[in-house]
Amino acid sequence: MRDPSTRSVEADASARERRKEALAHVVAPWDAARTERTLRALPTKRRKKRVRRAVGGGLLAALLLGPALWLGIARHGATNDTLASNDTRQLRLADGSSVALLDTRTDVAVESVEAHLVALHLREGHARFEVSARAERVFRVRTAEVTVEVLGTIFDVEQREGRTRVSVTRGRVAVIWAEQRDVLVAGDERLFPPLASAPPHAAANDSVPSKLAPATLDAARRAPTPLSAQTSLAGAAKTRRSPRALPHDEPSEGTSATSWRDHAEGGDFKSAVPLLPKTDTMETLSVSDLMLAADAARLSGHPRAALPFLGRVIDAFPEDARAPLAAFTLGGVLMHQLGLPREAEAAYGTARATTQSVALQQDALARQVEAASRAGDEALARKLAQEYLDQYPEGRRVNAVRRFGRL
Amino acid sequence: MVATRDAPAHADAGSGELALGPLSLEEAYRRFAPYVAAIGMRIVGRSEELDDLVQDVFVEATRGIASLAAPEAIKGWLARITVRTAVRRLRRGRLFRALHLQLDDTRDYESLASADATPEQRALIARIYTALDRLSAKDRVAWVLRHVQGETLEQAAELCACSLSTYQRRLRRATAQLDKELPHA
Repeated sequence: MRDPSTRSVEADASARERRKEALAHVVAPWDAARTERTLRALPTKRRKKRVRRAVGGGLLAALLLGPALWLGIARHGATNDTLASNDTRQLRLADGSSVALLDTRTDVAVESVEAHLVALHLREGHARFEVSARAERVFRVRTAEVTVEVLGTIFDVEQREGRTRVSVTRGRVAVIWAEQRDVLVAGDERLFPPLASAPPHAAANDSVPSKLAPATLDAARRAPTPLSAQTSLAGAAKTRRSPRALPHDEPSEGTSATSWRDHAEGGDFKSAVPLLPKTDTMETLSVSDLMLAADAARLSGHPRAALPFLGRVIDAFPEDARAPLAAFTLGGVLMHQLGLPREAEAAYGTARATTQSVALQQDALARQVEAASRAGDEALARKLAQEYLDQYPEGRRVNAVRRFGRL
Repeated sequence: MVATRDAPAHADAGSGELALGPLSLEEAYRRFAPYVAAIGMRIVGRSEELDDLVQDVFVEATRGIASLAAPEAIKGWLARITVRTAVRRLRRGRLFRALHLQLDDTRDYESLASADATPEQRALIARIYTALDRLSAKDRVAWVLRHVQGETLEQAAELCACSLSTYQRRLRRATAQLDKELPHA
């Protein structure tokens, strides 16, 4: 009879052999077509790299010089943090957003790059900002006259002769100046500050602009329970509200918001969870707060508690750029954390139907295939998988989609 | 789709096959992109990052390809850049996840396996790579180069740009951690 240590050594050796055999099957899905495709894109990549390096240097310089810039000490000599140079037309920021410099005198400086805030200063000239959607990050551009706050949108800002022109191509932005505030949506173009005779659109401190109040209140009344958050997913895409109706980024008014937000923003989700707002007070929360609360819940091992917050974003803020992301996140919570693949499939479907991002559409469809497969609905999984392969034959998740769709 | 496998970085170095003479970027890309992809895939473990990774490697290579003293060493040289680039990507991914900036951080490691892998092997690959996610980038690379890529200790140390003893220390640490997380797996 062999002693236990011998058996253990043999088991280890056998395990190593199994690992070795399995790892021999790790391969890269790379073929000549992929070589040619990526080779064609290489010049673009090189240009972007050069720009990124320039931006990186600018960011570093800005971070180092930031305090001095804020104090105005180094204002006259602040050339190191300048992003733009006359031969650079397109800048890409580390968070995926980009800035197109639309005339030769454009001067953009970085004031802050943090997880929750990217702040730029357009000192002069004309630039187009294409902002990637990030649930927890505010993107802010200021000029001498105004501050523009956005999330997930494309807009132009032109600073000239004491006024700033803001035009929005996609999404929505808030423009703040002096003691006033206005919201622009896709297609809007205005000069700020408005002429003295023009009445202000809204007071700066109003969390709900008066002209928006009725629809906002209507949306707020529909605070969902966790169950309704799931069951109303399919309708979310169809029951869109006016984009002007929603206080997307204003700070929450709830009295307990400060403490849980402090914890959550500091990454201490466990401490934040017991203090999260109750369902009946959720209507006072902005989209940013709802997403933050959902993150605090799901990332601290309380996935069920995240459902009402995500459901509220989807139901009450369907026009917000973060609504599809909330649906996608909800799908992940339902499928991976709560083991509810059928409900997850509906959530991913909502994300796909409501987003304008091709990348998110692609990912959501792949996840739909997986969710349908996990729910045992093989026919649906196969149908969705075929749809994926038709739309994205070289998609990022082709292998997984084939496997889950049994194709 | 043809799955790519390749020999260890230095297996045929100096054999004459790599006596390419000065190569243009395009020539080098067509010849070595699959090889770079294979190393990158084994380290990073995400097919969707491969395009970027391979391109990054060759973009970095453009800065030195003309001045490479020994063109026959181009394969090993690209392998070193690949390892360096992959480590950077792993660290950046970890930072993004920590800051919750990554939209989709779910991993589909079963899809790393070739079509001829058994379901058990797929599951084991997924378990190993999930465990690798918990290692530091350098320890992960040390383990992958030895046990997935099949490099010798000396070659792997060179690819990691560290001394042999430093490499062995990383490898021991990674192996101990994986043995702990995957007992008898």
